[in-house]
Amino acid sequence: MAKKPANSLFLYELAPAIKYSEEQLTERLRAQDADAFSYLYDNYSGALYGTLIRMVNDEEVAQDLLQETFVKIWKSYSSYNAEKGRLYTWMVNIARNLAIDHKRSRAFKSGEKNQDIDKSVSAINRSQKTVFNIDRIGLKELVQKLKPESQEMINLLYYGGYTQEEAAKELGMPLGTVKTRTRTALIELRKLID
Amino acid sequence: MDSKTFIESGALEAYVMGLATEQEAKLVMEMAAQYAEVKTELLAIEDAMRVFDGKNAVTPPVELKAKILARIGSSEFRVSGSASSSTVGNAESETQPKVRRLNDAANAAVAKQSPFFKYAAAVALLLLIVSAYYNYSLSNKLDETTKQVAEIQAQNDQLNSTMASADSSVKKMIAEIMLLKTPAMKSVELKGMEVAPEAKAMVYANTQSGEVYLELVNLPPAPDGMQYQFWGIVDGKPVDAGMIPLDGNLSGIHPMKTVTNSTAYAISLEPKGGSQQPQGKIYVLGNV
Repeated sequence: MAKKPANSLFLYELAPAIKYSEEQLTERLRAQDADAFSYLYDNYSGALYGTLIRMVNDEEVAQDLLQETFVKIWKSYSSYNAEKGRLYTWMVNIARNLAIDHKRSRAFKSGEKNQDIDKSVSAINRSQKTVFNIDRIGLKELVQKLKPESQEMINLLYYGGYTQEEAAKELGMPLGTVKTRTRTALIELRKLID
Repeated sequence: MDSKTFIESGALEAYVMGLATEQEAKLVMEMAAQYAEVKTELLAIEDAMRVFDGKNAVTPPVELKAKILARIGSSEFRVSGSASSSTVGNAESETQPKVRRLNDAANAAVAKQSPFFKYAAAVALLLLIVSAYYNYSLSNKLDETTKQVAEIQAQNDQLNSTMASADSSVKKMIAEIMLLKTPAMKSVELKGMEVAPEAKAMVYANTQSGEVYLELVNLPPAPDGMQYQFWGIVDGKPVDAGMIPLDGNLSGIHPMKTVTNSTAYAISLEPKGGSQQPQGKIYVLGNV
């Protein structure tokens, strides 16, 4: 919310400052409460949009996907199960899956019609070379503060949309190593944000 | 599998990042349900990823929210919203603001987030006012025009009737001219006598058929109880050729009684209804 244009700031301040606990929020969303949905958007659209931009490396596509994400959140809210995890985890994975679908269909369209997993992975890789090079959009990359192996994991698995198996093939290492490095990367990341 | 080994396997991280297969996810759920430390670790990872994404947040364009709310508000909300919202409303209506319909939120978002919509609304209002003014002035002009059309219609009607009468006059004149142009037709001027020197009449007589037409040019009005009578003179004797209407109006050239071989024509003033032989004074007279 740092870059909010000055003219809307005033109106934002006038909006009622409602704070929901996660339980309240999920309950209200289940009741299809518009205020709760609005709150959800105000609080999480930035995080989801940031993730989407890093995944597709295209602001317009990311905006379309963000729209689809929130529409899907609203439509399929009843399928959210709080026992399976946090609301945000559920939301960001909706966004990530939409972005992965977009990338795969784009890779598919761009001539890689062979569904062989290797080709499919390398197609994603080629069309997403920029994933590892997102500085050009001018985003501050927190991920760059991680060790290179950890950066690689986050970029491939989280932003690149690779499965762990695909990442193992891409990096030429055992699946077990990928899994371990994933954990290591996340531990490092948790220290970083503390 | 013990909880420590499970946590260190990286399965929880994979699960949170959406990388777990269905089987792996099922196992994570089972382990989290069974071991509190697994559940705690899972939540910690989830929170970490949320915070990480939050730190990487990019504010989407302001108009996006209104777009999304508009998309959602047009379909889903009304169908399923009212029934379930009431339970929440009852439970929390005292402490929380009332549950709003999504359309309201969409509208609010439009008003709140996008100055464009405000300008658009202002422009629309301005256009409406301008349009209303034009409607008003056009309506006035229409009234005026309707009046003018009615006036022109009246003028047109008058012209039509004038035309019709002119037309009948022309037809009559043409008929008269045709009559006068008949080769056997002879015109005779009847001149005023002593009683009325200014009096004058014209006679048009067909010398072959004996048809006679009289045109009064100037004749003083007949006194009460008296009437002008028209005469032909045949072999020196007056022959009745018809009465002239009391008002003295023959309307142009008027056919009279047929008189053959008349050498002269005259009009005398007779008692009303006429006489067998002229008794009154002769007013006009003319020889063929």
